[in-house]
Amino acid sequence: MTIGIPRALFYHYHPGMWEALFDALGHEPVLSGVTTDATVEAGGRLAESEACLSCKVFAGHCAQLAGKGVDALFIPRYFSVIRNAICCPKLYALAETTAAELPCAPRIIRPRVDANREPLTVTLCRVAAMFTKNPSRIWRAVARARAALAPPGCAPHPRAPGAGVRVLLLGHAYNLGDQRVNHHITRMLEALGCAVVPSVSVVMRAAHRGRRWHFLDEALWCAGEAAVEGWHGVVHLSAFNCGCDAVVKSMLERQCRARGLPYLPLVVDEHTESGAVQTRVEAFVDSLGDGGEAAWNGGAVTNMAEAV
Amino acid sequence: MERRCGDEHGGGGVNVYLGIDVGSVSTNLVAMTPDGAVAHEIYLRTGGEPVRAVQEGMRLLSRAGLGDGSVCGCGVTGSARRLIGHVLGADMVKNEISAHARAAVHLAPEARTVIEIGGQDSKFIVVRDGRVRDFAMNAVCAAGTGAFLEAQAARLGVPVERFGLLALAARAPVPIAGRCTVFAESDMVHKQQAGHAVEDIVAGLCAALVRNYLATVAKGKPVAAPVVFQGGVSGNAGMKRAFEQALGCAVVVPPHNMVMGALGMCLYLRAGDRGGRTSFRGLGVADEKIDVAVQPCAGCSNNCRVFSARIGASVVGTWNDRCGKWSGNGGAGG
Repeated sequence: MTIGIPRALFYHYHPGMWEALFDALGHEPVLSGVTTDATVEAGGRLAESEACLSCKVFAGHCAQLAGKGVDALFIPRYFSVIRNAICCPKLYALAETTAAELPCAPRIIRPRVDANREPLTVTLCRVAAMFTKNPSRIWRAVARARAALAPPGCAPHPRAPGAGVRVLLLGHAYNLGDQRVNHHITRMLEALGCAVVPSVSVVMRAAHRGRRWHFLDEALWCAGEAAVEGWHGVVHLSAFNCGCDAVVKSMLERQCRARGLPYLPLVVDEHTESGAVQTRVEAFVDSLGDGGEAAWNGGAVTNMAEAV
Repeated sequence: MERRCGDEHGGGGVNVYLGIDVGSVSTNLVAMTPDGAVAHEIYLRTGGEPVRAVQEGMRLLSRAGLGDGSVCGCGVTGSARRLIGHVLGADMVKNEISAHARAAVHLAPEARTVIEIGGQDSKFIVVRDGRVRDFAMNAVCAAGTGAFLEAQAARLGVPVERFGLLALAARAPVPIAGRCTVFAESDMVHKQQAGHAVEDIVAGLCAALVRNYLATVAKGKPVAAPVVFQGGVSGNAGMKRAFEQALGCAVVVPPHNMVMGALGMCLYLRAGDRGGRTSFRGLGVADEKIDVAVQPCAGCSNNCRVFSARIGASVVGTWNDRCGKWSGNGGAGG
């Protein structure tokens, strides 16, 4: 059986894991391609207009998989990925919204993923048991799935700590993991001489600190760490119309201001031009560093001298 | 093709830094001498054709007596900065937020807040000790920017230059719904039909746009005096007064207020001077045939739209590819 896995939203919480599971169970996982302009366009047409950009992108990925004629779509209901915290509610209902958006959607496999109910390994066993009753096969598949998932807590530290401008990049895993949505922001920041730490690399090692919304918890905790460790600034990338980020943004802004940490909110939607993101990011980095004073060929077009 | 100012053409008087701000509505050029004096200041309409506008600016500069040999640096800012940067062979290409802030703290070193309203975007910059502390820029909505004011001036049959003075003449400003300019427009029609005087409506509109700006761009960030107001809309005395009334403090409109982005680039150029060496292509660009081509690249899933600029037959720059495949080779393969 071919099982389509959309490379969007929930996928970025556990990249690689579900493919490995289905592969080990003898099925063929089909992962949708990376997000392109076409994905965004298709998603924008299918999804409800009030949905956030990330949801629209998700719809585009599902449409792509349905077009490939997969036998089933794998759209789990993600309730929680960290104990005592919850995901964004839009992730609970993805299977239903997708069925409504795609008129001829294939069968949808929709297991519940909820760290408040059971550990991830148990969830994987339950999903595997939907395909086989053989315990040793289940166990082998689960072991492979767990191995495929990059171990949490191996946060990359800012390259060359102490040197250059160190920036914390905050955003939902599914936005930071999608270069079309985030306009290659990591590369953009690095090209301007920044060392970038994405929040997703820090989150899993953070114990839950009592805020019910997992991203809110992650964002505030990371910003606190960033202030303590003396990072130079926080860039918060969010998708237009994200209800969660509307709350996160104002709390984060207040916390950053209180800690004297420069904060740049960036809101992207399907019409955002990379140039608009670039302008804000450049100005932010200028304000963190020397005010842009030293650079003769100030960042924007790094190869300008060679080009002329 | 680098050269040093004063090398060729015998120069044309004193040496200058050439700063250019190519915005959506206006294109501004400033030539500043090393001692900080503004030798030339040009404000032009972009009219949707940034290359043509810059060529026109170059022509005016030559006519004003500027020679290639006296340009010891060229910097470009504004939304068309990459395109124009390649066409002119700029030494420096910078975002407009930094450029505006740089000029503001130069002319008003004690400034703590910079309000910049241009043709299609508006910025709010918090400055402390001569450095940018925080900033915000309008995102999806161009409410209250120059383009809207101009449209309303045309609708009321008032030349945009007289718009501000008219607002000052108001005796009983009429409240206008300013949350969204679409509604502001229909509200203005309503107030006209009700018989209110044009100057009262214009004053009300200025107040509405200021409220809109403070709510959607400044968004509750602290507005500390001294406040500097610059950009195309700062030439409007009605807007200046409306800001003063809303903020309860004096608002300073600096000299060269219309061309601050270009002036900021001059200051950056002066700070980074490399002994007058520049890659500036020269004012002769004004008479060249310049073409810009856009090509989709099918090399990977990014599907970048790659731009290349051509002067005559030679490609002078290629950009907008995320991987650097086209731009990395200096445009030779563009």
